[in-house]
Amino acid sequence: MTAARPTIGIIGAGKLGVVLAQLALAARYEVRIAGSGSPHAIGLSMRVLAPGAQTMTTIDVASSSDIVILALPLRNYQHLPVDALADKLVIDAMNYWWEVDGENPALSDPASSTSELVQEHLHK
Amino acid sequence: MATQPTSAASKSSDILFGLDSFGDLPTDKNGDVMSHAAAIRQVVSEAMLADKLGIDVIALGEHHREDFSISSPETVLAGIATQTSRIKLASGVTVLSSDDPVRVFERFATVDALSNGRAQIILGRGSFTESFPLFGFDLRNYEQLFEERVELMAEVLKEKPVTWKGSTRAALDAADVFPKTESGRIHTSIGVGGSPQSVVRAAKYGFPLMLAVIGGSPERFVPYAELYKQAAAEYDTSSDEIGIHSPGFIAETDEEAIEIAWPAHKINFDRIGKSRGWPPVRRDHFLEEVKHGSLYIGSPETVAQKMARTIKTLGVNRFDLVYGGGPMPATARTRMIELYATQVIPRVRELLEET
Repeated sequence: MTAARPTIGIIGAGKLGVVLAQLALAARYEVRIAGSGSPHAIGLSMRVLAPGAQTMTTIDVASSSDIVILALPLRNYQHLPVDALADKLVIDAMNYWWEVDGENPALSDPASSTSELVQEHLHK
Repeated sequence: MATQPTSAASKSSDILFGLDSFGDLPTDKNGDVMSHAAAIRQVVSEAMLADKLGIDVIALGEHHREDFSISSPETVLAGIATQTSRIKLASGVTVLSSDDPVRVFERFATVDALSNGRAQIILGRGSFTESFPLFGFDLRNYEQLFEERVELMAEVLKEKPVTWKGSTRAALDAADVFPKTESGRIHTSIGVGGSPQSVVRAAKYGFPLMLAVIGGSPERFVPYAELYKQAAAEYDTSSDEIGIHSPGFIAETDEEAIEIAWPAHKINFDRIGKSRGWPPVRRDHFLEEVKHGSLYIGSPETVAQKMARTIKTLGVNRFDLVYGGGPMPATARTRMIELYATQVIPRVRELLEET
């Protein structure tokens, strides 16, 4: 593995986060992943489903990875650790799903994408 | 890299074969779509046929949408109970997040009495959302609702007075729930669609696992079966029973099966996709799923080969085939059940014995 290979952080350990971790590991990237609870809570799942991925807290994933993928429910985006994500390449994989995110005109406005809102939040 | 599955089933004769339905509305002999009421009676007659032909389980799943007739599986199962003698009567699934564990127990214990101990429950978090606003639940709490209700369900199933406290329902103080079953236990599994937390939760409470694999290659679920086994070892519970639920259709030839299943499948999925934002299903995608994915569609030999492969790969000991997806002729559904029972199941057992 070359030293230049970026580490990939994934915030969210649901269906999407797990698949992304598997793909990144298969492509021989170093992977760090956080669920909504403690790293211990997803420890067993990750050891079996994505062996090699390091489980950490959200803030540790954000501060220790070069690229951070957001794979959590969109409604939680305002709780992202903004400072830890400063100067990082952040890839937003979240989508608005009104049934679980709640009716939110700002998120469903066709004039702007939800990723723009996330970007704006991270630039604060 | 997938871990090697350790086969949960020792003999092919130990494997259970089920038929699953959501009460899709079939078409009658004039090609007209049946009413909800007629579709429910159709499922009862199909279950009677399945019982007569020796199929192990009929599992009926709950939906709250116009395109499915079954919103109350256990009421239909109660109807089937007194008309059948051997077949197990399961839900598939009971959406526990928006249901009450005490009532679920009462209803299934009643089916268990009517069927002389043949009732089974498959609990799920639900992949559709209609039941939440309908019963006054906030979908935003779906994870917490399910977690709490599984915990309470596990207590109620012990058939002893229950003392329990949570935040999504009133507390119970030494509450006894009736009717008691004759066996002392209703067979209860958890159905999961790929959420690792749900797999671990099933193991934590010692519930058998049903994997709902409705698209893509079944091999992807090998690590989930492995996760279930490792989690069960950690919690010191049993991981002996793992099943799979996938859709299919059987006719005399591959061509005939595809020509009957495709239009019904397209109508079914395009309707659901419309409310979920999926693009319309394309025929080439459908055929790809038939060939390599999780649609068990074809002649008895084709379907048997595919089922045997999946059973071996995942090491499962139960296969529930979802039949009659979309508006399909009722006669084709009946024929499928006959072919499943008389040709596919014996052939799958034979194929499993060969290795």
